Amino acid sequence: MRAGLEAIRVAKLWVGFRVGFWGKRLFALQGMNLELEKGKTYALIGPNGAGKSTLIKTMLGFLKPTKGTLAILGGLPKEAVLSGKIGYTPENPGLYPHLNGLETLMLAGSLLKLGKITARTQAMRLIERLGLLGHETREVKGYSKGMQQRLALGFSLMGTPELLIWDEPMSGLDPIGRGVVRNLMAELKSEGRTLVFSTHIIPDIEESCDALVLIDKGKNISEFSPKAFLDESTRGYILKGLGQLAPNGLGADVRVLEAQEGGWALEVPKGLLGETINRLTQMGGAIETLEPIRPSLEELLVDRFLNHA
Amino acid sequence: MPRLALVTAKEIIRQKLFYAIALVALVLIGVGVLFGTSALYDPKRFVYDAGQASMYLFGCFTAILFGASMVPKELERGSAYLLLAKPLSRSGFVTGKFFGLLLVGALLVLGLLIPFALVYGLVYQGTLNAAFFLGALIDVGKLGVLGSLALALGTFSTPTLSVMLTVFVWLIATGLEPAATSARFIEIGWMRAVVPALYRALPNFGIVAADLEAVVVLGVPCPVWLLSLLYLALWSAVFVLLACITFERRNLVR
Repeated sequence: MRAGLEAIRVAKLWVGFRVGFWGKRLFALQGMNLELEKGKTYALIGPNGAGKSTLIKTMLGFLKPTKGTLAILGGLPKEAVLSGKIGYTPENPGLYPHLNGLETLMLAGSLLKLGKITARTQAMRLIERLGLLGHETREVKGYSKGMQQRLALGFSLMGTPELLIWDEPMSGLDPIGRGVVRNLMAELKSEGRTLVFSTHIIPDIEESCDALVLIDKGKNISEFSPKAFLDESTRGYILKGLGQLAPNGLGADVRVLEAQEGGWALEVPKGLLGETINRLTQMGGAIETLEPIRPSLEELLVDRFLNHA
Repeated sequence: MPRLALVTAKEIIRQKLFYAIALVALVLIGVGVLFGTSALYDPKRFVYDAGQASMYLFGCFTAILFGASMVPKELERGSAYLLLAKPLSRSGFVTGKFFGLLLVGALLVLGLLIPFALVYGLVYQGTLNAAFFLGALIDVGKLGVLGSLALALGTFSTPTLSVMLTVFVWLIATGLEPAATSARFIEIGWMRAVVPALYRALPNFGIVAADLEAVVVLGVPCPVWLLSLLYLALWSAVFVLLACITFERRNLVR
């Protein structure tokens, strides 16, 4: 990757800390290598204890590397954080319960040294964007877990940071809340901001991510685009539609699953999709739905982790 | 940082423990008034002692209890991570926390001083001059020292251990002056050496002559209480610096 395009560069990173009464040394990251491009959305995926949160905390300078190098926006993590170019939401954000929603975001504004009017304008815009309008004067302790999570995301977005790092942003959110966050991710992507987040909720990342980073036992085991990964795993398609079928005219490999009163369902092998659609069009058939036949992304990822283990 | 100090102060003031401490302190002042009328010795003096003890003790309790749990609680809850990911250094975080604590301590002492001054001045015709209030400021200085020490210990230790160690230092700070003066009479050899060493190495509330009693009753002159305030401010600065150094160096693991 060309210098200047990198948001995060991790090279041979080892992070260890002492745990327990006897201070046993534990390495949560063991030679991690990673290069993340600016303006893209990345999801860090891995089982519990894989090292995702440790990696995030090291990126923010909360943990010090034992060995290796780490550059965030071209500098040290501490420099990047103090420049205000990073927005971070921890897994359990623990907002101040006695502050209201607006005061919470205004606190972020004062840390970023935004003027009072600018901070207030930004805070109100974020409150609206996160679906919290009408709750901004309520104390945070009266918020549901999902509302607190969304407010914490708002806290990270104050000051329009270049790089956003979110630890489990979807945890504790109901389907509506997840929808709000998915939309937010799409907006951030269109604004050209870099987003790195860890998650266990796989279905939510299929659409929003440019790349998945698989982490296990403190190492990056692979990195790929979810769209390409799913395309590769597609065996064929189920086509459903209306119109008269001439079964002999579809080719031997196309299986008719259902055909009754002008409606039909076909199983088409991956390589024959274009040809089958052409034939159906010639026969006067109208395609209503097209579904790929493949395992879910979650199944594919579990399979990949098991193969790695 | 001023905003963080205000948020910290507001958070402490909203806790039930704070109200419990303030209530017990007020009750103690009330008890002074109640028993003062039937005291065998000077009732004015009795009211005065109860009021002074109430402000000093409960101010210090507040500083120690909240100071020790401040950083561990923020780390446990996760709010520290949220703030430290913004342009706020770890030292700025700790310093903001200290000033919030000091503000609460000052508000508590002031809150107790008003009923105390009313009872002492109006009911018992005690002297209510500027020195009376400056004496209370010395109390704030002392709770600043204890609060900063508790905060510093809390940056690398558990709240319970931090409270215990701060109380230990508090006891030493209060009783060190007479112990050091009479060190030559101590029979155990190593203790004869340790006591004067502690006298020099730890804060010593004994040399803060201009406490409330000294100011009000003995009429200690201005330079003495100014120096006393400076002494307490320096110790607070030392402990806040220690807190900053330890917090800057440690890994933040929840």
